[in-house]
Amino acid sequence: MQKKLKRILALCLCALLAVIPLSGVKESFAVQNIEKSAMVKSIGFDRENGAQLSFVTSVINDSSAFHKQSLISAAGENFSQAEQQAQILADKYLTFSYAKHYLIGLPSAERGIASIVDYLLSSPVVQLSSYLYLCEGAAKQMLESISRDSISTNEVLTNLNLAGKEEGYYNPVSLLECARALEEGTCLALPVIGAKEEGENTAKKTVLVFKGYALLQGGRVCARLNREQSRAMNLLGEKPMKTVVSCKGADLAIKREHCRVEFVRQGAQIARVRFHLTLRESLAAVQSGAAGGEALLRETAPQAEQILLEQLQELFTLLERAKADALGLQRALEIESGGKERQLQPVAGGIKAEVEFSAREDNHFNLQ
Amino acid sequence: MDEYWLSEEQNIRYNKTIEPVPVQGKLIRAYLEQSDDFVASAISFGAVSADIFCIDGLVKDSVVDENILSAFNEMEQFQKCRSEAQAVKLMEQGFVHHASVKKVGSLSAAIEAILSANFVIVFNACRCAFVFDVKGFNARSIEEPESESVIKGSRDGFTEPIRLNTAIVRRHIRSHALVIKQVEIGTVSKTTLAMVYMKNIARAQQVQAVEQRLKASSITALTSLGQLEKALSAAQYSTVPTVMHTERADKLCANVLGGRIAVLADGYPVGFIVPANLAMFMQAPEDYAAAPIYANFVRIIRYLCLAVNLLLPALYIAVANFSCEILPDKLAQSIMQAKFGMPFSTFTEVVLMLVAFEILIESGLRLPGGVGQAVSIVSGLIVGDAAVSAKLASPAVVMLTAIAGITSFVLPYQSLANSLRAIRFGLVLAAAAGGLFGLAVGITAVIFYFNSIENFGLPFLTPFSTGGFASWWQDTVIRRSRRAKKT
Repeated sequence: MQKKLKRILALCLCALLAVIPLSGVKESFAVQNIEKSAMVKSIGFDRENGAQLSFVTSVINDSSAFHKQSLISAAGENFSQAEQQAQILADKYLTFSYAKHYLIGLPSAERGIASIVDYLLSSPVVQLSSYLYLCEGAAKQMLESISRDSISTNEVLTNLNLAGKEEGYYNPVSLLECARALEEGTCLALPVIGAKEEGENTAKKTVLVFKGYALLQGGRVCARLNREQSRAMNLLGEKPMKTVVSCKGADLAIKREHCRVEFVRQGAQIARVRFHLTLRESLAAVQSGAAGGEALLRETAPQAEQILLEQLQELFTLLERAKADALGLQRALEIESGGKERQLQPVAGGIKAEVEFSAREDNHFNLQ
Repeated sequence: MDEYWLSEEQNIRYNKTIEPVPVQGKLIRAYLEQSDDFVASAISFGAVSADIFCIDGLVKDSVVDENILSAFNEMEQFQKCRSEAQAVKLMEQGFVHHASVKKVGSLSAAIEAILSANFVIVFNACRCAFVFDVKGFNARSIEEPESESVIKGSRDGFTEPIRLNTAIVRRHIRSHALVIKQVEIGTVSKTTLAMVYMKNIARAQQVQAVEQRLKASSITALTSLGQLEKALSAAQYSTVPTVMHTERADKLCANVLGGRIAVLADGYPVGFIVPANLAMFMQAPEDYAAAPIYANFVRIIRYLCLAVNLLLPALYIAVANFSCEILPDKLAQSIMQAKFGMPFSTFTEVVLMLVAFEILIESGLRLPGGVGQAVSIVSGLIVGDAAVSAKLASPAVVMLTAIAGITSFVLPYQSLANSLRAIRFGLVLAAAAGGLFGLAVGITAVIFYFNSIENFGLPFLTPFSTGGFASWWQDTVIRRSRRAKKT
């Protein structure tokens, strides 16, 4: 046993040592001192006359400037070349493993994001849980405006995500979800963000706002949703969702508890798609002068539901026009039919979508 | 015999060429009279005259005077002796009452007996001598071992006289199967060693091998325990210890009862246990005194500390130099910020701090007791703080050096800890050369090396390499409760 173990260990050692002269391994022995690295926090992709990459890095230039950021932008025929060019421009080694946010300029996205996603997936250090965003205008300008204010881009984008979740306008989309959607050929909804200036004079700062979803089919933008339509789409989605609807007299906090899809058939054909939406409604705020309590809740709840219904109808119309299966009906049908029915004419083509609310009123806050 | 000054080589030759000539008083004087502590006298009783010899300070004068010499003066039988032969016969019959008396005929045996703290009476006409064991030199009393602290257990530690040590062992193991076999080592010092083993448990081949190895050792004089340890070790240049030493009698007896062979040396308060393996060095006697759950917890911590001690500095270099992506975001930023402006590379920094740590340990050993401790603590704090302030080392490196150092002191045996501290320099080099891959190669090489070490037929990595995973749970990583153990 002892000799056998010695032999095995000797073989392991020889195998490990034999790897050293193999090609490709040489690069692995390149020393990249941590103090000579620059941590890339966000990357912007643009494609106009070739490829352009913009890196926002957290560079340690002195021991106190911990959050100081710098922007490095480089162009090339493709993204790999642009990356190499950026590496040359930067005086430190760019480390991509810490990047959590990727911005794609909308004009570039309209030409397709498949190549961008492929480029990201080709790198072994890119985190699959990092988020993808579209931005109005060029991603470079967006990143410039954020980093100019010396605010951490990570912090800004993370706060935006939190606010979006809190307010129910959108859920961030990870690189993995994006890759999966492209692979399966399903419709993908990416958040579009824009920048606006707030404050005056020296106190001016750039604030990011969510502009709605951009729907992508086959990696190309096929439709744009505004904030309300995005909210309506989230209501029918799977991720946790809560929002506030303002009506006359009160703001209602609405939380989606459950959404069930039903395919109503006429014979063998699917005539309409019915969404059974279960909501929990409660008073979030009451306008001054209005009487609160359960009576107000009962009065405003139908109004809120009507608002939501109208937004949902708008959404259905838009989806019908864009022929985008953003609601995941294809998958729902597959699940319902046990995999037998895979092809569904998209929401366009004569199949109507409707929504049925079943709401539970909850006034435990007893707002007056 | 007229040559009083002999070189060491001549001494060795001199000792080896003492032929077993019959004992004669004048020959003994010729060998030993240059020494001022050599006592040579004569005694007369009846018509007989005999020479008496001993070494001043080694024998109990009161026993010699009252028990031995007084018998010649007071006993009628001796007063009526007309010849030496008659006196010899009386002594053979035991007329001089003493528990340990032996008759020798050769000059070398008589000289050896004198030098071994015995009282010798030589009857020149009969060419014989009688040796009385009257060892009476002052020795340290049994005390608690200093280098091995005891929380819950017996506190009798070994002392210098070998007979006292064997007596302690006999008190712990009152079995007829316990064998204490004496072996002599050192051509000049003739140091007495005692091999202690259980004849019904220890392997006969191992006992023989130990005895042969001791006898075959070319030690001239045993002046340090390292010589004995080296004599008992298989590999002369082994990085890790394969012989365990202890000052605690209970630990030695526990190992003897486990089938191992202990070696005690006269003049040294330490017992050696062979053969030793890694699992033995990771066990502490308190493991058996504490509750099983706590003892197992501490043992697991100990093994983790072994890994941390060995791997932490190398891992830091591998990650910081090659694979910083695996560090969490904030930690990486913190390290980058701390390393900003450092003049040395990560590798240099780590090596410098490890070397400084070794220097601090060494200086703490050399300084006297209380001062040493205070100086070590203060120098550690000041050097660490000053190094960080002067940008010679980053706080992360100081911290990891401290953690690696502290974990080395968790190991029960400092000899193993010292070896591991040396080995980790090799791993640091491997990590600096090849990152995580280099570290993996280094770890494989270390395991390979450990696996190749064996002593008296026992591999160093026993039972990890020899037994299955079940053996890991039988008093190695986990100590099962006594009830759960199968007899």
